[in-house]
Amino acid sequence: MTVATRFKSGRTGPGDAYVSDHSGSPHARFMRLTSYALVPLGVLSAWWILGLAGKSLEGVRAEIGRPFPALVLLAFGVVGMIHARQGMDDIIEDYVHDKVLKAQAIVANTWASRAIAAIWVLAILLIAAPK
Amino acid sequence: MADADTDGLAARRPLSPHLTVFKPILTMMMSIAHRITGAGLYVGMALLALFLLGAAVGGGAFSAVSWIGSGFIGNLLVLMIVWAIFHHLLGGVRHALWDRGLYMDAKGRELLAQGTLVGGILLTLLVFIFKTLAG
Amino acid sequence: MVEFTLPKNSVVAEGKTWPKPEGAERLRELRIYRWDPDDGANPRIDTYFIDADDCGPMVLDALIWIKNRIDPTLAFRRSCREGICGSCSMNIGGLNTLACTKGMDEIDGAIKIYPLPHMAVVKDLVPDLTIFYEQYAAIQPWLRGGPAPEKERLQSPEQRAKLDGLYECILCACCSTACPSYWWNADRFLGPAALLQAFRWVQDSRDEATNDRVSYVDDVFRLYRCHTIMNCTQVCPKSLSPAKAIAELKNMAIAQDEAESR
Repeated sequence: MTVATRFKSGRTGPGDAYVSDHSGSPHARFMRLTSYALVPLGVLSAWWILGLAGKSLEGVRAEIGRPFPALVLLAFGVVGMIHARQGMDDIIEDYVHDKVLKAQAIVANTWASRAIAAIWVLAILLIAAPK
Repeated sequence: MADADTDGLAARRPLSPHLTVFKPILTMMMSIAHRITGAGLYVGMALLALFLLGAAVGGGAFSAVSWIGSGFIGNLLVLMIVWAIFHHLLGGVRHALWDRGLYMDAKGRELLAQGTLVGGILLTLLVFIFKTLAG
Repeated sequence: MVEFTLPKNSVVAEGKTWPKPEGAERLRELRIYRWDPDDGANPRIDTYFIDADDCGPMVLDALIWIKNRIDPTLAFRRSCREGICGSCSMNIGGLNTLACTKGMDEIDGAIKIYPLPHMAVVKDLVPDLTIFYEQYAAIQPWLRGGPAPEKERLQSPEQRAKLDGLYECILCACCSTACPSYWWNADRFLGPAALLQAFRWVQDSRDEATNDRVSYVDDVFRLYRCHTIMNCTQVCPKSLSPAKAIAELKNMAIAQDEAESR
């Protein structure tokens, strides 16, 4: 990121940015699909997430324990974290230029998003799954 | 392309000011807000996941994470997450319209940017009021 | 990591205030970015006052007035003075535009003038546009129509109308240098101007390289660093919409990708 930076995606010479990688379109398409799903999921989830504020342990369990909220929140956690992972990949691609650091950040993002989704799903199943 | 730089002059050239001099127009601010709420929700989801896990395990685990959902900080945090969901969601609607070439003229752009800002706050307030009445 | 702040050699200092013109009744204050490649100092902001009664109404008129009457060392590009050559693009009052079509009466108070944002400065208000031109060259801005036909390639009025809103681009670089995504990734993102031009050739009924053109821009960096921030369309002095051209390119790239993955 200095003033000496040159345009690397030209057709005038080879380089690691010479060929179109064609990964942008599937990424954008997938991002749009997850967004559509997140509109209803987000509105409903926001309602129940707000309901968690200030609740006791029993209150939280009762709020999440019902089947419909549990299912919607479950889907929100999974689809939301897929969407969030892709969004974070975008942020990393925008701002992190160092190749090694970028590769590390992408891996960290992959596992962090998976971990969050896993904890989310596990917690809701523990609370809401029929015993 | 020919490079006339023979004495390192190009390397000494300063970078012209950008973020600090560019007018903070609403559409750009909403774009920045979209990114911030998106990244914020990533963190918010992590905190909520921990909160839910604590609630699932119960006992000491819940007391360890109950700050996320109760008290002044917890209430504020949950309210911020709800606002971020609505703001980011409306930002997504804005992008979906623009992706289809709609509302791209000056008036349309301003309308959608204002709608994102006002709508996000309004929806949060609305849900908050209904929730308070219901609870 | 991207640097959100200016490098050390680019931090702007307060410069000198030049004397007010004598006998002027209506003064206009201009605060202008200066950098001299020869003095080794950091960029600075100089303050000038012009006699508004003796000067034309546009910002470019004021710049020429300053160069003629106060400070001949002030450097800026200009040519046609009527918004068709694209030379005098700069950041005026916070927005990129052409100095020749920006009226001074559109700005309240001191008129702040910087070079186009996030560019290497050659001198004062003159940025280095090398990368910008490389991006334009990269989209192959010429007719790719196979072997030359016997007669001219004909277009119906409807086909010709598709180029409206695209062919008027004067490559002033206002849009690209207004785009934060371009600021951080100009080395790989084509930027709004080049993408609008790419779409101009995609839309041309005489051009036969449509698929190849779409395929070339279909890249995480070249096309998809656009996050629809809309600064490009906001600042375009020709009132074009690079954002709309990019949206159409994205939809074409997505459609092409969907067709190929079937």
